[in-house]
Amino acid sequence: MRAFDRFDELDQQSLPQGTQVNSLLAIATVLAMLGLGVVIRNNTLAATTVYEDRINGVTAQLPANWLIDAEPEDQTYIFRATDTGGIPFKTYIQVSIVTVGADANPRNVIDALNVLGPARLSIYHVVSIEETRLGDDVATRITYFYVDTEENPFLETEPTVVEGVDLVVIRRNQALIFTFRDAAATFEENEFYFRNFLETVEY
Amino acid sequence: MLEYQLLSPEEESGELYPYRRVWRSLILEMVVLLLVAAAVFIGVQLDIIEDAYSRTGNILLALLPIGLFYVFSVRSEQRVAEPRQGLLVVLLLSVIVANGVAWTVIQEVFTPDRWLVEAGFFSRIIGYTFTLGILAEFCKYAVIRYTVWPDRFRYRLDGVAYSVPAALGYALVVNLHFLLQDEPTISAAAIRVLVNVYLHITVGALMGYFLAELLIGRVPFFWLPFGLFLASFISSLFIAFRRIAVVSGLGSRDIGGLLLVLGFTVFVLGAVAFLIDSADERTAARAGLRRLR
Repeated sequence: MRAFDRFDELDQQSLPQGTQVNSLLAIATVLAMLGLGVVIRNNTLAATTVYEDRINGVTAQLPANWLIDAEPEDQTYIFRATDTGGIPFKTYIQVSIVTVGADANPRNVIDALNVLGPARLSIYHVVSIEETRLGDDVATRITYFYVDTEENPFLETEPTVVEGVDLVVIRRNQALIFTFRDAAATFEENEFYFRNFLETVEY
Repeated sequence: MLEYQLLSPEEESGELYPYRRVWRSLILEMVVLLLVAAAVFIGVQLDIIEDAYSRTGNILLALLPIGLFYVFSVRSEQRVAEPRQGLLVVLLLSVIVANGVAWTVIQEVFTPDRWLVEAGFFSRIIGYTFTLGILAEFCKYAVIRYTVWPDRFRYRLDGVAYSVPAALGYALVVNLHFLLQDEPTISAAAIRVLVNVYLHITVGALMGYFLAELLIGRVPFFWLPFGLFLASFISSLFIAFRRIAVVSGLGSRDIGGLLLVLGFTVFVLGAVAFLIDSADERTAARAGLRRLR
């Protein structure tokens, strides 16, 4: 009996049958799995949860796993959903209500926000103000930048340039302000959260 | 008077094993890596080594598996009758593919930090299987499949032999990105390097078996797709369990992952060794040949 360990001695002159089919199927399987992986990723990122504020009459779908704060200390908003894992800035969507006169329009509210902006936010800079619509309602949208700095000096964090959007609609004698803020570097990437929110918000 | 002559017994002509012993080299490399990681970890615990971030130290740790592979595998090939060719080519190509293709896709398309890191146990398994897992296994598979396979494959253990440099190349890229971006302390770096190297070698060996069997055995038409899925699923399973291990309450968060990867490696590599050995036995019996050991 002769010894072997080389299988090319076993009269295998060519590749086994089915090798090509196996190789092509492997590529097809990997492409299909990666495609499915992208779908899973997108679905996970876009997953939402319904949030209902019955007192103020606002219902919306907010990103799943975001932290919802409906009891602010300073009463400046009615609720805020924050991506607590956001780095360097914790992305958030916020809903605020201010009382306005009977003849007020969204532009009046935006102008007021624009005036208050430099006092509230560091290096506040408005990029655009535009008329738009939210469903059937007339709305005004303001886009701005500011610099966010950590209040705790011991954390020694670098300032972050933040891009923000405020969208205002009028409901009777109330102005609803929908705000989205994110680090400027990732704003475009994450803006779909705000678009999804606006598409589902009821007030 | 009769003269008696003493006859010395006839010597059996011993057949030398002409190839490098793959398992021996691999075990040596893994044991030395484990000893280094353990030395760093114990040194930190005993305050002999300062547990701080060291860029040079971390890079050396990341390169250590490559150095061990060169010493125990590549140089050993030069001392055997029939050396394997192209081990370093596979290693280099794996580094290029991992850094140029896989890492780019991970950072630009999959962005796991945004959705996978905080996912639950089952979501994590599914998510990793269909994204990072299959991408890593396909990159390692493609490097072998389109370079040394089938010309350099002579027997089943060649699958394992070539899967090791492919795995080390991929692990090197993952480790370097982690060590240079996250800036971990030296003890955390040592354990993370070991975990990544063990994981990729173990799962890569499984894929190596599938590739060798495709050439040598009789396999169904879905053999490779099944192998890629299985390798991806097993690595994802490890990733999911690792999260449980690191929060299991042991003194160091990283030591749980280390213990898990040791068990995982022994189990999977043991299974691969058993599969290869039994398949070789069957092939030898079918062909009426005797195996060299």
